[in-house]
Amino acid sequence: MLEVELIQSILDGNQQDFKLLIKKYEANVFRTAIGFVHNKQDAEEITQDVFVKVYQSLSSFNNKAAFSTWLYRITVNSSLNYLRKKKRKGFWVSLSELVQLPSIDKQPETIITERSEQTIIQQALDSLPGKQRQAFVLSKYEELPQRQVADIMQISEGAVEQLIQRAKNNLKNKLEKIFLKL
Amino acid sequence: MDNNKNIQQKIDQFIQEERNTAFNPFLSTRILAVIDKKGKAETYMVLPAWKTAVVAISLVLALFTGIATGNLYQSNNKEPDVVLMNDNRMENFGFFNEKENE
Repeated sequence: MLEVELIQSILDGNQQDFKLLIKKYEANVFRTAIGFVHNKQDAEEITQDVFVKVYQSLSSFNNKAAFSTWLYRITVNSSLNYLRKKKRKGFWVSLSELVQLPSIDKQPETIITERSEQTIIQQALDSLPGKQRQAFVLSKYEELPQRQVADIMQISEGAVEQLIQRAKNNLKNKLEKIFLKL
Repeated sequence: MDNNKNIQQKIDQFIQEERNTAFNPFLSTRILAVIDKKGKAETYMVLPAWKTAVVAISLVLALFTGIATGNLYQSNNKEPDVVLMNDNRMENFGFFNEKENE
């Protein structure tokens, strides 16, 4: 079934067809979300939120842009909103983040070093300016072509290239300073 | 140069690990359940609004019916006779009090 037909079928009230749409795109939405939140539970929650929004506003989708572009736009906005809400909640760290168990086949020192390195990289990614971060996540986590990233972010391809390059340089500079100290 | 390469490798490794994170295989079912629940909740949301409106209208109607019924009532009673008494001529009840007479 073509995507347009699938969407029309959902709009006609066939909820089971929406499951096909979820199955087709859930991995993409989840990967993009995890690029922003770095946590499985949070990314699943965002994925759920995204598809509920898609279901509720599917009638407003016009076929001017590709469905995936529209979906990625909702995902990016939902992820950013989620982060804003989480920031407002303050210091309430989810229990799952604290209790995430490391794999047992690694030495404790290795786990600690890896964990701290991961935290440093995560913090460096999170500290990127908004647009750079969006472009970087879409291009690195989803491996989307620059043209699609440009469509999602509604900017030019050249601007996307610049944003990704700046993001890489920023990350390199930040991490260089920290890793040299370690 | 090696350091740069090393950092880039670490970033790529971090991204790859996050990309490989497996999500709940029942996520789609969960999403459909949430959509279903939301649909039902929205249907129920209509009922209290109706109920509230009906209760409010009933109260207003009851109030106006009460006022209208009250206005319809016409009394047939004449004005009561007024008896004027001089308080000074009333008996002093203290006189009959035992304690005062002891």
